[in-house]
Amino acid sequence: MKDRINESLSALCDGECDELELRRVLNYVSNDPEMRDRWNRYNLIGAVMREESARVSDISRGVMQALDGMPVDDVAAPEQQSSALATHPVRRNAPDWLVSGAVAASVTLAVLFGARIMNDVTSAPSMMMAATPVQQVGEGASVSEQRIEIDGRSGQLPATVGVTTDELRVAQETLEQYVRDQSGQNAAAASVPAQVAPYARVANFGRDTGVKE
Amino acid sequence: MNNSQNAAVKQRTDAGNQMTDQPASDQQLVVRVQKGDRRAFDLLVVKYQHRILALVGRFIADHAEAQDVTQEAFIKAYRALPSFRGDSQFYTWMYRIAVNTAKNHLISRGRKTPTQDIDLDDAAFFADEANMKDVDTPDGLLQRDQLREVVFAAIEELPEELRRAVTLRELEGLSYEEIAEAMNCPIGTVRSRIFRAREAIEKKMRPLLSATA
Repeated sequence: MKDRINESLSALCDGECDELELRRVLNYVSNDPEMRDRWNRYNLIGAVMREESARVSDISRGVMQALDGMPVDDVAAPEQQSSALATHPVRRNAPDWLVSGAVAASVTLAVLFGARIMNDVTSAPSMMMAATPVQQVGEGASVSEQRIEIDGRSGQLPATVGVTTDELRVAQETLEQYVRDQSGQNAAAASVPAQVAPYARVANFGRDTGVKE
Repeated sequence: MNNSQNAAVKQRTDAGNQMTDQPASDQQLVVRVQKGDRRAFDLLVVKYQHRILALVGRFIADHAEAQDVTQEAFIKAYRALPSFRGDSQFYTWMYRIAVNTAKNHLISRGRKTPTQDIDLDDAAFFADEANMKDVDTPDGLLQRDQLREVVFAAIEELPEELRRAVTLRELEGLSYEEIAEAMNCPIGTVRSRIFRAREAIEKKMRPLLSATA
């Protein structure tokens, strides 16, 4: 068997082996360093017989190590390559770890962003409260009065509040609309699996209420 | 090398060129590389590394530096191989890349490039010494001389039919079919004879190469 493959190797030196033999030889060569050395010696014999100038030195291993990881379709004209590429070939495609890192970062960002929106939705009233500085509210007003005012029950706000009345009214209408929508969605959510409801809520809040970030 | 030797080598070189007009093995291997089989490129590197190193050595005297430039030339060739259409022989194409790489290397180091290139017609076998000296270390020269002695001694010891077959192949560049006609035997026999001749020579040269590796 070994002789047979070596004979194929010899035939390959002369361009006299068929495609099937070539494949077999390539398979053997990649698994058997001895065959690779034999190929080297076969070619050296011809070089010596023809009195070719030949320096006996094996640089092929260095070449293949340098090529390791470089895709064959990574084509560039020879003159475009810098000498640095030879000793430290650079892959044009992004490394695998970078790609997977970018994907992981994107997913993390999406999750964080979604969670933040969820938090914003659930804490919307308290955020609205926080938007009104306590010290700017009239001294006589109690905490409960402030809530009522902000809730829009009284329709009156102290003039010292930093938010204009119109802005606050729009915000209140938006919030009321959102609460109404949620009531409807909650009723609808009762008939669907529980996991769907939070997503519907988040998606609905940004889109349907006209809130812009 | 004196004139008569030059003429003899030139005569053999011309005969050898007939073979390299149809480098079927190179063509097969190039196609395989273009299909993404890097093992095939490894065989091409192993096959031509000695000649390319000798060529680069005519531009760059330092052996280690010449090795680096040779390696760089092969890497450039690999990267450009997908666009190699096969209009010229692989070696001729590789030769141009190696010369350009060597010249660029000299320019980048602020050194003068040779004013006269090696004639492309002579490049394949370097029968013409041109104006550039083949600089090699004493060890390298000794090794080459020893290798030549071993190879030719081994050829002398071959049985007549093996010696004739391998000579017709390596020096005259005949195909297996032509050798079969010349020797009046089946092609399979030619193939076997050439293989056995190479095996016998390779066996003799192996200790020398492993000692210097």
